[in-house]
Amino acid sequence: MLLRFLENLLSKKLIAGAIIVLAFSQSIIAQIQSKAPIKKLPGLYTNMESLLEIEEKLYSEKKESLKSNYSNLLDVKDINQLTLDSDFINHILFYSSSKYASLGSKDKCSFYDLILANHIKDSEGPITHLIVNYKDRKDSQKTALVSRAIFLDKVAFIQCPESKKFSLYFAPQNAKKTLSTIFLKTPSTNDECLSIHKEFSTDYKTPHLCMIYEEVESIRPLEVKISSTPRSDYRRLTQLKRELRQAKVYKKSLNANSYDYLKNLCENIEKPKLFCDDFFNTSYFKKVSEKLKPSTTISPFCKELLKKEKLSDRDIKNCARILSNDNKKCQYLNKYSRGLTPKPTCNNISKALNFSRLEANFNDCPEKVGNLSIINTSRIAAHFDKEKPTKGSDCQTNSAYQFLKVNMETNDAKFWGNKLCYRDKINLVDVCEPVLFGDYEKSEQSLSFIISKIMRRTRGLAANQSCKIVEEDSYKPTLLEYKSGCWIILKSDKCYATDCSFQILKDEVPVTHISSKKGVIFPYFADKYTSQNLAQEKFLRDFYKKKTKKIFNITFLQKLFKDKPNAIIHGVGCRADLLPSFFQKRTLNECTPLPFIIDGYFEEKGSLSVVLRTAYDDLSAPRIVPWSYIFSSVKSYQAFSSINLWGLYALY
Amino acid sequence: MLFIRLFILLVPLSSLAKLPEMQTKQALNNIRFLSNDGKYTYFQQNGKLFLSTNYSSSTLKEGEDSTSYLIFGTPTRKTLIVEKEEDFQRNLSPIKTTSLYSIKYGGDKLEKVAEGLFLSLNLEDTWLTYLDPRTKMIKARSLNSKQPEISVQLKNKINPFFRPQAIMPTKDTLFYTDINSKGSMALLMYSFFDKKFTTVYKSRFTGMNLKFCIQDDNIYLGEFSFAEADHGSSIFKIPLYSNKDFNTITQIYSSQLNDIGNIVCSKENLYFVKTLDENKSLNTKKTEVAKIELKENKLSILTDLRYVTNIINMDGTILVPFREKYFVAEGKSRLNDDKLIKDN
Repeated sequence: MLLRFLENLLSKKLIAGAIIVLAFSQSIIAQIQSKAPIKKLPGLYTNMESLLEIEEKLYSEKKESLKSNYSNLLDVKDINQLTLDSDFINHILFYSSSKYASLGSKDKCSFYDLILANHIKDSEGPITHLIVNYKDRKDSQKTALVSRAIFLDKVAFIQCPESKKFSLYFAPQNAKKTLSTIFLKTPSTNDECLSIHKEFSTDYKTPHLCMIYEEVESIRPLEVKISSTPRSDYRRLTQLKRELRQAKVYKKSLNANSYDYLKNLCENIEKPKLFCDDFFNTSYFKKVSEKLKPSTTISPFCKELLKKEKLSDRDIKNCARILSNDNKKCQYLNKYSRGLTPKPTCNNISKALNFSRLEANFNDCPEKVGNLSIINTSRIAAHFDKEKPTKGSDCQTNSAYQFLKVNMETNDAKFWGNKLCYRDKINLVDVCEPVLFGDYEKSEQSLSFIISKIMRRTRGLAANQSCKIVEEDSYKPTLLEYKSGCWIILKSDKCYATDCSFQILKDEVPVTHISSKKGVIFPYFADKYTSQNLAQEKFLRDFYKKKTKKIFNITFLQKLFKDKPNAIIHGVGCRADLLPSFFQKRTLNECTPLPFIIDGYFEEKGSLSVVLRTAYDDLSAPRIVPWSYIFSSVKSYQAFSSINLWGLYALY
Repeated sequence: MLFIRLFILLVPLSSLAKLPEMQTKQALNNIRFLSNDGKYTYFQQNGKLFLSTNYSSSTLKEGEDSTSYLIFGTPTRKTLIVEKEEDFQRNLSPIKTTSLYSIKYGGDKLEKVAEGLFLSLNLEDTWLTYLDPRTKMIKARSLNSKQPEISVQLKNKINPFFRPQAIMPTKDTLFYTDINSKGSMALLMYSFFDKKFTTVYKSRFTGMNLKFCIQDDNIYLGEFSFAEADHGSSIFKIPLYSNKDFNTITQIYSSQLNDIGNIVCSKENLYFVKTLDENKSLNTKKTEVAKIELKENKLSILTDLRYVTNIINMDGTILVPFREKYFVAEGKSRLNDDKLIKDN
């Protein structure tokens, strides 16, 4: 066992060493080859301790002999001919973490970055001195001890000025600002993940990012050391406390998500597969519990499961544990999200969410919206919008608000037929205002805002008074609270985002001069040539300044998801082709159009399935559906288009 | 319950012949109903519904361009039901109703009979059942008499997009599917006379989908797993009469695999979408049309299309919709014969 470990360690170290040496200098290679350092080692089958002892002895002897030979490198003839001493290299190879070796393999600058980020260590920790060989101005060969600072200043920063800049960016006082500019992208496909990993492994910033991670990791050991260091050892204690302070400054520059991201990256910088496994093979619910993913995704499940309207962190953790352990639990939790059931199993929801990219950090409810196109449009809009629709008085108003926001800007909400109307008796005209059948924070289309506005104009409602929404179940006319003022009584079980019944009472008297109009009828995709500029698909593109591309086959889909990290695909297909277990065709040319979003895919032995969110489905419960169903449904729907529309487009 | 497993002979796939594609005189996209002898073709164009027969055509209904029609018939061939949906592509509301019209088989006079979503035409085309998507009520209405409409409230609260099946084998009874609060689906019988519900069959697990048809005094009930329930598939035969509390149930088919189902009955056969292979990691299935010959209990696979999802019985012709095409599993495939047809 020990021998195997030693073998592995040695081979790893030697490989790592070779990489670093390669990066550092051609002359170093020659030096190592000529000096054959391995000969000095006692062989692969010596035990670990004696190996380390011998190596340590060699290095210590050399260092001791050079103590009187400190150099400030002022006498170097040619800085580019300076090399690291081979015993020194052997020593740092033993004590530096092999996982960062590949980061130093790019060129000499990348090796200097490793020194700057404290990843190059000797037996006492990050190196403070280096042993170098060079010719002095008199052309005589010298081996000298150089301080880290002098080496960096006289060699590293001269050869690699950018390294100096980076080290400053990641200094404790600048780390927070620097990190705020670095996007730690969460991949949505395995290919994308591997590509992200590749970028990191060649990025000059990575040693510094991992330095921050290592600093944070050092906090606990430092605290232990401080507590076990006697007060009499004042100098050591001061040093340890200084290190702890610095580590804590670095910790403040990271949030929990960034820390976990860096942990995964730095622990697996040489292991791309393990790095990606962390994204895709860990339960999504566990990630929520660890605050790596937003809890919004599972909150509708948790509210119902725990029978609580408000959820604490502990509730979320408890709920995430249940969902991770009980695979069938997710299928019928539907009180808050009102989507199609059965939903996928918890395992499949977790798998789909791990591969998905839709930014769905809000909750909606397909049944209560009452219009499938509004659901799809609002989900897409929320994906591209910086602000997610989370401030509605109910879940359907979130969707309606997001939809109306895009439509108000792009076409004055021409298709939004939900309006409140009254007679302007001065100008003798009927005035109608677009309205949401619910309230949304600070929205001028909120139901109570519009009714209050009309009541002020028509019935002299005081400026400091307003009409308030109350659900029919909560309205108790006998209570004093409801005896006066303006109340909007919603019949919540009959209230959809597109159609809602309500009554207005002012001081208990029904208000009859405000009438409501209903109807939201619009093309999602163009349904004729003349409606090409009036389709929601066009409004979304214009409002969010996005490009579009038709998706004809899986090659298009794969390329899109690989090349465009924020891209999603949306489409309309016939529901019986898309969800054949749920809906059955009964007669010729039967098609119920169903809009959907594709935001991820899986591939296995040439077969491809996608992460699908139909407008029937709970936003938090995407389905894994074969590509063939998508293709069939879009193809079937195409038969109903007068313009032969292929209803499957990417937005990016 | 009595379960009797009957042996079924599976025809090897290699013996499959390629199914003929349906050929029609009209553009297939426009056709809404074709009589199985090709004599009557109902088709729509630009929001209008037409009947074409014997080289003449007449307009049945006019509507906006965005209006869509569906037509349903039964083997009785007395009446057809036309479902008219306005703003087909512009108003994607799950609570939207359609207008239901009755029309004499081969006729061109529409009569509005209800507002709702068509479920079934029953009792020699004299009774209509339909769903009110807002109230979630199944309604039954006589097409010949002015009998008051009868309705049954669905108990389902767990799936807002559930579409039940409903069939009336007698004037007094309605068989329909419903879902309880835990997600278990059941086939129920409601007696209008007794105002009494009887559970015909309740699925053994949650996450199961029940589909049924009634043929020759038997209910054929398929119990299929929704995508991820993974409890396999079964088809049962339940005698409609002399079967107290529906205790006699015979299993005529079972499979470990999760079939899509979507069963369709004809006089002698039962068709369904059978899964031949599945990859649970990708949720992909190889699915084909299977036929059970009811007398022989013999099962055969009819297609080799890999991704079949639906089967249609259109006036006795069994069609397999596959992308933009229709393949004929049973019945005439050439319905574009230009010979003049003599009136009977």
